[in-house]
Amino acid sequence: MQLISETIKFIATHSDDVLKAIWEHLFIVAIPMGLAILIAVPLTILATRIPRFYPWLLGFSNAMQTIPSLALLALLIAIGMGLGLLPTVIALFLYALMPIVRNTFVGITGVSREVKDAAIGMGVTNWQLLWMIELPLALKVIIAGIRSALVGTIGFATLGALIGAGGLGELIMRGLSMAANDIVLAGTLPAMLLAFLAEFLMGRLEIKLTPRGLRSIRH
Amino acid sequence: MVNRLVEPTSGTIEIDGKDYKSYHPVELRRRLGYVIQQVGLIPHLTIAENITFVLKLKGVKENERRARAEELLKLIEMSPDVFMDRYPLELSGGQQQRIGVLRALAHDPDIILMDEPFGALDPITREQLQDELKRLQRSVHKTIVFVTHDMDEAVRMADRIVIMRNGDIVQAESPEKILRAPADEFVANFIGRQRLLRQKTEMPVRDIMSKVVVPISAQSGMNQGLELTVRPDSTVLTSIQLILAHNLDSIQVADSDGTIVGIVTRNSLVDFLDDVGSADKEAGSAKVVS
Repeated sequence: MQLISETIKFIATHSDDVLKAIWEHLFIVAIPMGLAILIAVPLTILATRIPRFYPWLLGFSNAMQTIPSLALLALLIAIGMGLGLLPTVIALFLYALMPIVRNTFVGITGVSREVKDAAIGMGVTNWQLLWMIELPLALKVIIAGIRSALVGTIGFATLGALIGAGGLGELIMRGLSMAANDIVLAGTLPAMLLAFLAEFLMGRLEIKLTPRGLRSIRH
Repeated sequence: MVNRLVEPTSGTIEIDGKDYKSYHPVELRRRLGYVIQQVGLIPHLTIAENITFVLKLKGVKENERRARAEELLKLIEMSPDVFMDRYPLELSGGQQQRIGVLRALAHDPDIILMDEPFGALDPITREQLQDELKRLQRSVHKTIVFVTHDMDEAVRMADRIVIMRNGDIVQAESPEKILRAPADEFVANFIGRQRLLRQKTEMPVRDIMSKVVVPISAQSGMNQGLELTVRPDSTVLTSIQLILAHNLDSIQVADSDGTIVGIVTRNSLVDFLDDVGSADKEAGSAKVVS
């Protein structure tokens, strides 16, 4: 109990530091997430059209996910990415790929054959098939992939502090080196809250973006 | 194949006298109506949007599309107020396929392709939809290419039946002609012995009687009892029933004014019914043009 009150006291007295760390943290998360969505979704859609391409794409993103997070950071430094924001952003980007790739592929290829057959038989172009049929029906699954990538990235981003990228991880590192548990918690609690918040908001978004015609049976 | 989802290995298809390959596949498909067995309504679109999907592809305005959907729903007596804004998954299988048929009509195509449209429905619903389609056809007058494996359905729906076997056309004629004169054993098997028998017994007696060369007046004393004659347009079945009921060797065929015009003997009936194909097995597929 004492620890919690000390933590609250620390956050209250150092609110500028904590807020700055939160903003930095969001920044560190937003850039690789944005990149991952912009790159992984179109690439995966391409992979649904060129089946030979998919094993490579999934294999690569899987491999990235398999490398332990700390090792991935160390690897990026070792190959000359330097320290700070750049290697962190790249590592987070690589880490976020897999859930997005996998869910986008499953979502698009999961659109039922007869719906696609009927649409093609009615004369949709390839683009119309994607925009009017496949993407709307796959959106819920794609958002679910982005959601798990986002939650993971928020947690993983705390490690960025190890190589000087800033964010909430920096508070945790500072607290650890000073053996001050209240400072560790001042970094940990906001990170946890951010992850919960992201999970909740993405969950809402997922429901909101689920086409109405599908909601009645899935909920 | 007609809508170029499958390309032919040989031969060609002409639509309005033009090689169908001269149309771009997307254009071609938008000119046709298409109904498939699995229905394939688009689940995230409302019924109204589903019905008018091709119109949307063609860029028709929203309010015009809704008006068209309403009009079509009324045509099959589904209340637009109830169904327009529902989603496909809220409908029963039969209702979904009704919408599937309307969807093929919405853009007023000349030709509608139906690939076993009622194959996945239960027998009662199937019959209802067959009747509805026939009724619909009387008001819209489309060329419908209807693929089925169900000979009953083919006979019931078609103006012309094309029986196909391994990609070759075996026989292409009206249902009556195919039933009366199957081109070969395959067609006879496909039609089925029972149906052939039924068809034969429903033919008018006129077609099978031995004609009397000099018509004999009923009053001439040669006939014994009027109740034992049949009319030329009575069915073969009636003559069989009379012959069996009265244990006769033959029965006379008399005109409406009582003139005896022909005779049907027990032996000729046996011969007539006996040359129905022997096997009952049904195989192959039938294509129906209505």
